[in-house]
Amino acid sequence: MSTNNILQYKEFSSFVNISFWHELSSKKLDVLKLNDEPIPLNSHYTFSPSQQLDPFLCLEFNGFQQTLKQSQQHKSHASNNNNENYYNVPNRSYLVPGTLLNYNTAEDFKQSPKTKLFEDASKKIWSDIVLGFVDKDMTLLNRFILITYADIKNHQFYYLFGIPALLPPQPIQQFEETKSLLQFYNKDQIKSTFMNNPVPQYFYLVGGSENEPFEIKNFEDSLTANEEYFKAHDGSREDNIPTVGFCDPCSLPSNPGWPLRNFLIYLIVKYQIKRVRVVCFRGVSLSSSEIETNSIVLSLTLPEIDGNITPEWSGKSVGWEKDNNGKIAPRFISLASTMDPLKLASQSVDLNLKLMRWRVMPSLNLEAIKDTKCLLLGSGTLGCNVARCLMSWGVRNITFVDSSKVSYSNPVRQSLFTFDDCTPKNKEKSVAAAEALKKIFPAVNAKAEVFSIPMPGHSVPKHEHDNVKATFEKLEQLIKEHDVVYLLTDSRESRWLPTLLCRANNKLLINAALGFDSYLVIRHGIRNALSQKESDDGCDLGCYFCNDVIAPTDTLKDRTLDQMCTVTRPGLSMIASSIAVELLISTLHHPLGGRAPAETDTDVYKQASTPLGIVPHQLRGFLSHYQTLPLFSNPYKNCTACSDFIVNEFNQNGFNFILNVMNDSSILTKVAGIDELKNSEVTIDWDLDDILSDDE
Amino acid sequence: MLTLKDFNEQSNVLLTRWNQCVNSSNEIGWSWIKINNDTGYLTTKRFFNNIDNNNNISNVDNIDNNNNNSNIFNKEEIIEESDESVLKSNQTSKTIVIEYDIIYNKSYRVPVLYLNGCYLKQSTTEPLSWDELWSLLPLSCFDKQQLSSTPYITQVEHPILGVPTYQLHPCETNNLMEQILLLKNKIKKTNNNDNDNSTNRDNNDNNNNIKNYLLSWLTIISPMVNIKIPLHLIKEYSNN
Repeated sequence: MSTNNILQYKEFSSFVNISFWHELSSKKLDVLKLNDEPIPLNSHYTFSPSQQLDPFLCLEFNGFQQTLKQSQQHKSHASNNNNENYYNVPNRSYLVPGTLLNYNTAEDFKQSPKTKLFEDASKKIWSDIVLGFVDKDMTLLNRFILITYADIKNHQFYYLFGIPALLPPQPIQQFEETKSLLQFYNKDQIKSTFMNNPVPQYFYLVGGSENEPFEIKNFEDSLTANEEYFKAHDGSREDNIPTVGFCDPCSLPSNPGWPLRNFLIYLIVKYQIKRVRVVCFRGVSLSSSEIETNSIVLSLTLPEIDGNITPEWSGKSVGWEKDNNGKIAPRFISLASTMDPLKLASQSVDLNLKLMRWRVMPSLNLEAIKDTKCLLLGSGTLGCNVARCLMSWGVRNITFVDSSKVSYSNPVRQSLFTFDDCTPKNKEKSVAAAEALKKIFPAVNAKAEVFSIPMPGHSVPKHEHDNVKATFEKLEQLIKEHDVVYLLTDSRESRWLPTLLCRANNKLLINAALGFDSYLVIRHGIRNALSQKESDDGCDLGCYFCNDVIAPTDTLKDRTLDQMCTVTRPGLSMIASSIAVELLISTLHHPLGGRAPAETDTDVYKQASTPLGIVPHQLRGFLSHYQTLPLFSNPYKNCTACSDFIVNEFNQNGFNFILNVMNDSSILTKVAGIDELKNSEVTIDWDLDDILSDDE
Repeated sequence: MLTLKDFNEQSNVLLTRWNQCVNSSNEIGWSWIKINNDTGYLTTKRFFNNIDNNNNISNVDNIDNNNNNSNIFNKEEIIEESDESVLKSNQTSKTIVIEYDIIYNKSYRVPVLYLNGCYLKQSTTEPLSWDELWSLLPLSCFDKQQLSSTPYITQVEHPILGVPTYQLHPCETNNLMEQILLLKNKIKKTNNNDNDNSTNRDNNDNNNNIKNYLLSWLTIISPMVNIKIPLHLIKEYSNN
């Protein structure tokens, strides 16, 4: 034997489960409030599954519960509560009781008398040993203190763990090398001793001469039997060394875990043991009839404690939990991700969408959707419903533009508004819509702009020029900042400028318009810049105005979509809005994006171009016969909104051109070259009544 | 489908038998958490060392390095007696704890598996993010193969603890179990035909099926989420 055979123990690592902090938070809010009295806790340890894992002391949501035994001891003054839940120690685990000291402020936490609290806990262990309480309840040998500061507002917790071990006068020495349990006893003995009986936390082994099995004696069973046994086996001679054991959370090959420390003090104080063999029991298993265990046996020389033993402890103790650097410092846990409702909502929303990807469509590009910035021009029924549907798809950036206010007739149809938005003061629609989105999902980035879109034929008086110019610039800026523009306004004229601006800035525009029982959803595809001639990829598509000028000759002719929009079947807006959103999602999934060629329903039977199916150009739906038609039209070379003539004119003259159009819309037909056409059927009436602009 | 009474009874049987079969320390055992006289749930947790998941967990390291708790506490405040009996270790542990709860769902009338995880460092505990947890589950590989029987996972509030947690969604459980039990019956019937046995035995089989509902379900679910069923347990069930 070498000279230095000091036995070294592996410390506990605390594992405070997240559920404990949740429980502490709710207790603090509902029960404890500002009370900072010590609170009894219960934790447990179990056998460590591998050498790489620390021995963990586990504190969980049920840490505040008392065991049946504990509650019976306090029964004298407690009311008869049958419904109480008791702390149950899990299978193959062992109880470690403790005390929580929670402080209300960081300052209190800092100022708390930590050293004294630790000493008090140590003294309690000592007096429980000396006064005989441990004899009946061996769990009193291990006790922890937990000092916390719960910053509930920020979901942050600071904590310090202490698991006091009383120090003997001198360190405990090993008089023989550590041996494996398998080296120490034969297999049959081990099997019959440890596999057929439940193993208590602390025990001693009786009998076992030759190959007989041992009898496991629980310390708590009979004090008289214990006293008799240890009187005869005090380790003073080679042949009367007692064999004790404990359930060991450590799994290292030559070191025991922390619960042995106070147990040895107990043996010294209570039974004056000189030498002892200790079975560090770590479970025994049978694998194809071979015994497997990493339990070890220690042979220890125990020091004597000089002088009178009194219940007053005057020795030293150790056992603060330390950080990586061996410093005693509070640990920190932030549970914002599991407690902050905002973060939780975001996580859940994302996860639900991912579900769709995992389950149905692995190629779903949720990131592209999430990153898409949407500008919603118009915050009426269409704007509200489109926004809700975009949000369902995980779109996080939505900007509303509208100039009107929420009126009493709006909330029933316009799904983001409520009665409160109309009174006591009518809120701006775009502002109310953005607020509503944030109420529904706080992580959404919803913004609001209040202005009306300049319209052709709505002449601008001189003194208004600067204002209209500012509005125009604002609109162009917004279009540049967003990836997709939804055109959801209520009048035909208000759609002209955004159509032109999107065309000039190469932005995808999705336009939705309602009739009484029919709707139109059309995407204005991205076109290449004018300088860049005929593109090799993708396809140019007609815009709302192209289509209108050369409108399909059908029954809609005498009731254009816009004219009817204040009186529409209420379900129509939801249908059109949903289609407008789904059209965007499909387009985003097409490799050519906004330049995806138009597909019609016949393409469904070919191989679809996106995982979601076809990407149509425009959809016209008729509630009267419940039908939706995917249609397609080419750009019209003389279109008054998107033709090269107009775009060139705009690029050259900028706002001045816009201003001229505002003052005299007939310029448009001139510039677009329609006037040169001899076709008398093509007429455009820009001077629509303005009666519709207050609603929808 | 399983009644609450059956769930409680089968949980009790499963727990007892399972825990009897757990011998070695790397097998997990279940505990029953009692809520009130007729409700409760099964729970267990698994500790393991994180070996090669540095990529997934790296952001946690960053949080730890920031050490934003240093200002709240003077590190030199507590000085402990130096003790040569304490084992010095330079090993910094990187432990992951995954918790599993099996809770009865009254509307679907099936058992539901809930799971949650956290990451233990020397000075902090971090809840595992969804991506971290997902990458640890064999289910994530199952899903790549697009097997139709893989269950949905959703984030929900733990029905009892109120903590955010993940659940294997119960919507497919019943279909799955019906197929399993049907299959079992078919096999039994074929065997019966071979043995030219009576209908009497069939009835017994049905009883057996319901009796083993929880275990049958768990044998399907467990490989997806890394729960190892002790071999002894299956032997024991098939013997009875």
